[in-house]
Amino acid sequence: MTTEASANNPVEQPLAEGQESESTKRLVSILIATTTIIAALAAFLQTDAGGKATQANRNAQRYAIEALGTRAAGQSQADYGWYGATQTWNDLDTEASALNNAGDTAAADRIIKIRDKINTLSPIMADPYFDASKSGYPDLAGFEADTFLVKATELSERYTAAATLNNGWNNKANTYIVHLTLLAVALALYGLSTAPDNWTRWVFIGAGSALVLITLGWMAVTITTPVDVTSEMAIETYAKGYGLAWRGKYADAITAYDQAIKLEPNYANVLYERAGAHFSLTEDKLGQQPKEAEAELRLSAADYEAARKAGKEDGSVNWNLGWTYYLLGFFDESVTASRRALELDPNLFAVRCNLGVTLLANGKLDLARKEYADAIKIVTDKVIAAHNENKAPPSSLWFYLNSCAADVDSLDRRLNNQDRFWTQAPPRDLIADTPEIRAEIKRLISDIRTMLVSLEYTNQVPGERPTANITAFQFATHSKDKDGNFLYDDQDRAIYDDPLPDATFPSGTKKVGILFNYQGMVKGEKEIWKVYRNGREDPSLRVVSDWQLGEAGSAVLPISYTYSTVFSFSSGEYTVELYIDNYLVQSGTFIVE
Amino acid sequence: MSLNSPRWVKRFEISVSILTALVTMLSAVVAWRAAIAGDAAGNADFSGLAASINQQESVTLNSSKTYQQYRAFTSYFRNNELGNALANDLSSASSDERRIMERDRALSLNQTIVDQYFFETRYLNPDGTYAVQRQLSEAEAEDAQRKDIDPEPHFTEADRLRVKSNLMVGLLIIMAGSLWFYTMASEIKHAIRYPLALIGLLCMMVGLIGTFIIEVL
Repeated sequence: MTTEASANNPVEQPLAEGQESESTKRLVSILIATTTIIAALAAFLQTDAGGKATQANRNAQRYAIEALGTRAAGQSQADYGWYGATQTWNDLDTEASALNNAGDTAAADRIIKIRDKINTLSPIMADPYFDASKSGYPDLAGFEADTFLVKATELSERYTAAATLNNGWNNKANTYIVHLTLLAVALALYGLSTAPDNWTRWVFIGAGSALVLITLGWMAVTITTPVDVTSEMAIETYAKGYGLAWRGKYADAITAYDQAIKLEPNYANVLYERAGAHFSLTEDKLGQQPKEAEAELRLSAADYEAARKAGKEDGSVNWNLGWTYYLLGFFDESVTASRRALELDPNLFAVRCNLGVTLLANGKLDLARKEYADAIKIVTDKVIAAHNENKAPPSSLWFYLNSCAADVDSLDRRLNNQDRFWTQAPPRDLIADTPEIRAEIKRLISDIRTMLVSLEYTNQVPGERPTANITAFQFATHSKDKDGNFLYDDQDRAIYDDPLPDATFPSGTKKVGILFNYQGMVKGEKEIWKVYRNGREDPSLRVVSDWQLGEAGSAVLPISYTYSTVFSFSSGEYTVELYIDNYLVQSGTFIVE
Repeated sequence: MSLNSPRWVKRFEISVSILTALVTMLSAVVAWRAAIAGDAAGNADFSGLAASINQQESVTLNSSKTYQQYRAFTSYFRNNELGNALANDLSSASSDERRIMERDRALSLNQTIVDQYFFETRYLNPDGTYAVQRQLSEAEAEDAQRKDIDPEPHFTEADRLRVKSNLMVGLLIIMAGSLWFYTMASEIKHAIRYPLALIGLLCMMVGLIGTFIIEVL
């Protein structure tokens, strides 16, 4: 009876327990079907994002492989142009000059004809890279930029862009997997809701539905979140700018970089390279017109900071930023940047030297000494480690030690108003100037140069200091008779004029004598002479031998190009250093006009 | 037989249950084909990258070898030109000069014989220059015979298969839609269940035809 009554009046009567359960199950079925559609959509989005990530990853690998191949193949061609064609051209040119100087013009003409035929062997020896009337050397950087560098740079940037794209799509794909997992949990909750017949089923239905709604919201956010895509035009413009910077056209490179930044305001590599281009523009002013370099240096520092903010937070950015701030005289900012670089890699010896020279210029003597001590310890550890493994210490140590000494030397020059075009130091008025700092600078130059020579010749840190005592160098020319012939004494030793008080020699000088007195010498000690022209060593003038003279006396060391009928000393400042048993014991400077 | 007759309702419900099972099975088949296509796309990518490595290895090694040989040719060219120039100037030289020039000429031409061991003389052009580009192209052609150095077809195939996989997974949404309509048709006890079932059937047909087209094309 009850069943009939209910069937006749379905609206008026409350639902029986079984009917309520049935309608709830229907609802759950519909919810499950709806969730399945959402899951199918999530699966589609995940497959699409995953596919795009895989494609971007493949493209990244492809671009990396192509960039490497393009660079290597292009370098082979450029190397031929330089070491094959250019070297042969210059060999023949020098030969022709020597023959001309010797009066054999017929032979010289013959050689010049062959020399000119070499021009046909490589495009580097033709217009626009080579003009023999201006220089005997072609524009190698321009040739490299045109033949492979711009293309290889573009491919490298495409690699970075594709890797970023891969990362973006991978993140999306992974997020969709989370969505699918949440939807699976929701489906499980719906399934569970069909089991109990009491109020708990609504807890499952409610929780499942909440999960589905949250997932739907999250999916909407994920779908609408854009993936970073680097503009093709920005990449091409950047590569073009890189090529211009490579060939030394920094102002044009900055213009190209500006265009790339307009297209991609947060393009970290462009900001970094533009900072480098601004810095390079200052390099001919840093030495003798530091004030004129300030504006470019500020732009450079700002770009390095922008590159950091854009995500390029690595050792090289902070290294360069620290150095730029140092040259500006912003010592605190420089220290902060250098310390950031050292946090990323505590073994960056050169950065520790930069930090040391910054602290020195800022008058923080104790901190500077500590940094230099740490730097020397890095070198010592590397030398010992190499020694224990029966290997030579890495050659990079020599390079960085040389730079380290040159930087302290630059600081010394700026303090003493002896700037040269290669000097890089902060403004004179910002450098702390005390007798202690001046003494420390001298000591550091000597210690670092000694370490450098010791490493080069013994692969070890310097041993005990020798007893050698050498007086200041004087410089003189080899005496000549009225016909221009060099004069020698009866023991065939060169006779020298009186030393020049200003140590300045005329252009075309072929021979210079270094005069000095010595005492405390020991026969057989290693004697090394190094000659730097304009701050860079000229290895052809290096002399290495064992001390053959007595314990005390006077001596002259000739350095010369007299063997050559073509070459003489180029104009510039020459610094001569004498090392005894790898210790720097004396140095002096002469000028060739 | 009326649409409300119990027999008709029973038949309808059985049909919807069968169609639901069918669309579920069809979805499984589509998912399987999508996975197969995705896997094949990955394999094509791998083959393409391997071809890229081969291609760049070929370009790099051939370039390095060719330009090394070209350097040897440069030495040959220099010595040969010098020998020829000395020979040309012999007639106008004095007897003393002549002796020295003949000696130098012999030295230069002897040197050209040594130089010829270090480059491939078949690339010498009639005008005495060297066919660098021909040597590079021939070396590349030779490599192409020995190994796959063309990545492009692999990458094109990979991209095609990826689109196929994506479309297949896209069809799953339509299949899920079909399932949804069948569920509604079986759960709603109202005349609207019939059009709902029809829409479900249409969705299933679209999915089926779509799968066929994607597989065939």
